[in-house]
Amino acid sequence: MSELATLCRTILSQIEGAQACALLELPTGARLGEAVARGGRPVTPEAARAVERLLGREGLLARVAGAGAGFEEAHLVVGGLDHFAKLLAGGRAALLVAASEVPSLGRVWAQMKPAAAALEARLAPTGC
Amino acid sequence: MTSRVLMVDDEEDLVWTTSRQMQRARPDLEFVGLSDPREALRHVRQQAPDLLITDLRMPQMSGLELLLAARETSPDLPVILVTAHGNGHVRTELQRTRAVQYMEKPFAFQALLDAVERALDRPTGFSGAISLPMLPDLVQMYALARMHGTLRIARGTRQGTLWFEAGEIVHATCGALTGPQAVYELLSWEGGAFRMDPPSAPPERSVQASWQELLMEGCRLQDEGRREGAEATPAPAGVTGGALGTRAGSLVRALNELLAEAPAAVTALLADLDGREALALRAQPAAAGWPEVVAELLRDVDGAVGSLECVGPGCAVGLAWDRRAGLALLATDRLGEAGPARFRSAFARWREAFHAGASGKTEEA
Repeated sequence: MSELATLCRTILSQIEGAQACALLELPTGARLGEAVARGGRPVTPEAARAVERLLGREGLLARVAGAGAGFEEAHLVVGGLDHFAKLLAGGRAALLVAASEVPSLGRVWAQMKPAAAALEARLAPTGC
Repeated sequence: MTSRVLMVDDEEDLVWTTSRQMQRARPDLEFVGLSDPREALRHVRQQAPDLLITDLRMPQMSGLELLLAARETSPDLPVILVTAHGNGHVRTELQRTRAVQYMEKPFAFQALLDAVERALDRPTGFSGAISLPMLPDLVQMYALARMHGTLRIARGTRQGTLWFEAGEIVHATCGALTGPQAVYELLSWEGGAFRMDPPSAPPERSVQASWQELLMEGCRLQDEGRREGAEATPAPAGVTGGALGTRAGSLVRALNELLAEAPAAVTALLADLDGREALALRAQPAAAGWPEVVAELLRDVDGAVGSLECVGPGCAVGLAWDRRAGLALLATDRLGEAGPARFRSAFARWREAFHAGASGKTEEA
């Protein structure tokens, strides 16, 4: 198992309700690492594509909101799952966690921070 | 006692013809026809008629100005307003609930005669029309007279302002509310004092809907409020009267109640998924292009029902959709020092209300 996949598995255990975790390369969408909880489903290609579109570049939403930069975090609720995504490595990657029965959005976002920091530390020296 | 009817219209031919016809039809009436509203005002001040028929747009003085000036000396004077710029649908809707009498040009003499007889038969006259207890009446008169100016309304400690340009409301405020929401709140006030100030540049242009759409929606909301035994809800919407407005009325109300607490930096709209129509819950000028944005976004997101939120430097965007109901809710927040947490927490409530309302609509369909 690669180091990034190991990190994804660790993140999976740290986030309440997490079913799957993936580290996406942007803008290609390639999965640099992935982990799935026992009995859970992998992150779907549709969810990964949506996150890639929302975070990977200055998209439509950024223009609507009048923001100069693209979005850094996204929360997508679709197919009965909550998907939390966070931009990493200056926009070269994104952490995506799919969760069910999320008790508190705020708590999950708080749990996403150290997870993202751990991945950032891993991605920073080598790039991805 | 002979009833006195005073008619004023700058179309001299119309006044002359109407006078002749009235003399034949109702010789018992004393009918005075004038083409100069200033002269009409002198008549009113010298001896108040039992009924005033006035055109709204006249070069020397608008019918509205005449009405307001006449009201100072004859607060119970019944009035029939005549305009060539009316909207039959709006007029019908307003007359259903108001005492104002309107005539649209060209009118048949018999229609005017009927209106005159109704006015004179009323033991108390059109007290509502003259005392103008309801803002919709006043708004309609300003609109029909193509007035420019700032209408300031006060009710107790509450205040609101409407900016008119050529009869259209271009901006509205009422406490913390702006845009159509402010208009609807003001329209729901039953009573209050008003003052029309000279034109001044609005600080922003928060209203895109026409005055007819605003009044129609305002009346509809008041009707619904009365039917529900509650106070008229201060609420919806920029674009109204269309398919979306009709279909999503209760949903809009629920969302507006939630959005009323949102900070001013929050903008929200309910959009048709095919991008044809948007109903601004908390409008901003840029809202016009949003339905297309919603439609384009959803081309890349699967799921019959869902939501997404994105947070970036200084802004957050939330989108909730229900493809079965054909509706989407789009909200943005120019994040202040509070950061994204406040928006996330609020949007969670809005999307919950959206999905509850949208699924209800689906079941009805």
